Amino acid sequence: MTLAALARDDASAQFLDAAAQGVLLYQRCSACGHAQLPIGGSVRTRCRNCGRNEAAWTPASGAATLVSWTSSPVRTADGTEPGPVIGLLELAEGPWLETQLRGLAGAPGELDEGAPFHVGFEQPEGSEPIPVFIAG
Amino acid sequence: MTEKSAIIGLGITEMGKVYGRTAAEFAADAVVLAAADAGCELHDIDGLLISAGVQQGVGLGLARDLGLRNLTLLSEVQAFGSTAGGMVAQASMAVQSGLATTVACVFADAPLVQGGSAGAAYGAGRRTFTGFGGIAAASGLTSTNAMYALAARRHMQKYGTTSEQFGAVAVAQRAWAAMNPRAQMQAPMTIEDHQNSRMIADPLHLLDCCLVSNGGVAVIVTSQSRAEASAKPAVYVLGWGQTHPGYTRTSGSEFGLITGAATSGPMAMKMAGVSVGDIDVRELYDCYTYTALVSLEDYGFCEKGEGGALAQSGALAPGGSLPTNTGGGQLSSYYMWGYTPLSEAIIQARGEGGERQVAKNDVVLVSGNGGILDHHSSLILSKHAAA
Ligand SMILES: [Zn+2]
Repeated sequence: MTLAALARDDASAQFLDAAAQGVLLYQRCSACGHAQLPIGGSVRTRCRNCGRNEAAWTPASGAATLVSWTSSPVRTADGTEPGPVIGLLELAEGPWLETQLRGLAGAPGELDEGAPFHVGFEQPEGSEPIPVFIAG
Repeated sequence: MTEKSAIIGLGITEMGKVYGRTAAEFAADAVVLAAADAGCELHDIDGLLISAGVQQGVGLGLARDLGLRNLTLLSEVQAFGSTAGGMVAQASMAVQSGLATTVACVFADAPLVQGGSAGAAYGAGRRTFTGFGGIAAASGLTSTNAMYALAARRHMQKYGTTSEQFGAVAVAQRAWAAMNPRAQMQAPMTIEDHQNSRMIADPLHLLDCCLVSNGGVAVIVTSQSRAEASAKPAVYVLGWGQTHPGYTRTSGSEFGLITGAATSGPMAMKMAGVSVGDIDVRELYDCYTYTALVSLEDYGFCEKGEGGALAQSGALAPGGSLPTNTGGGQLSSYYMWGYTPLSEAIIQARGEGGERQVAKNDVVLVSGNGGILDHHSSLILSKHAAA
């Protein structure tokens, strides 16, 4: 299975516009300096550290390390096949993000916490660009 | 001094693949059974707290369905898998404050449909993935299984916990379930069976995951003075606690490593005047084997990171030194959210466990865990009014 389609909403527009340019954004609070990514779409610029409404979109380096990962078999006509590997990544700036991993040399069992990854973007048919993380 | 509260009634409907009844019907049945067990009439119930499960098929209309007319407390309570502990605490405070005298707390759910798969029970209806929160979903992270897999994998990386150690939790609980006539899964299970069960979300195998059940459970909570005159032995609520860790999703987060049990446990034990060594029976929330294992660590039944070794030692199983999830838990008996551990705790505290009854049953710990480790509750129950 590859990525499913992603649609934009008002809260994600700026993030997705940057993604289309190959830039990963995160939020940094201009009041307290806290770095975060939004959890859902409903709260846009509220800082989860100090509570002020000052979390502003900022370009990230695109570097990340692996915190955890999982993979579920996908059902096919003949049975199942290995599904995509989904990583929980920590951006170099601190925030966490879950998305698919690319460029893995071995089986998911050979991955390790702390392994380095860097961001890339893929755009499925009819979808906004979606960040993925590439090994190395 | 404030009077203690006590559980005097327990109602458990038929469980599992029971079709043709709605969640509201299971809920009504459970309340009627609990009232009969407590030796009280339905019109004696003046408080009703309702927890709807995954399907949200029961609500405030239950009061009308049961013809209750004397309610001075009526509410839905929702904190996912930690709800049951919160409800018993809320009911206890209601009887202590005089808001109500006899409070029924009920959970019911009916996700299973005849001919449908367990996966279909909760996965019905494909969502559209939109906005920032849609990135993880569009990447395939759509199931609770996968989210707990991320937590379990993190624990394995940090502490060296193995899949076989998760399996030891499942095997121990199945051995308990074999002695529980209500358990959906009673056939013997080995570590090999666990290892060979299909992968659901790596590292979680099928036998790491809870069941799906139709049914309902209710309890009746009242004051100590009323409890002393009740039909069944009272089970006193000596302590409660809840915590909501608020994992930051940024660098330094303890997600997957330390759960709310580390804080809600000491809160409940302090209130009850007991320490971890005083607890005879553990009924721990087990949406996954991992959840039970990490809870054992966070409550302090072993050193942090040693939950896997503890499970492998056989301590949790029948005959072991730390009897845990003595009805089979949600892995092997029935999936009623926090009402699975709560119901088994009452059975054990009353000494009604039959073949699986634990000999020393003075102090029982009940845990609840909800969301993706976001919500936690603890209860200390006892057949004694004071520890
Ligand atoms: Zn801030």
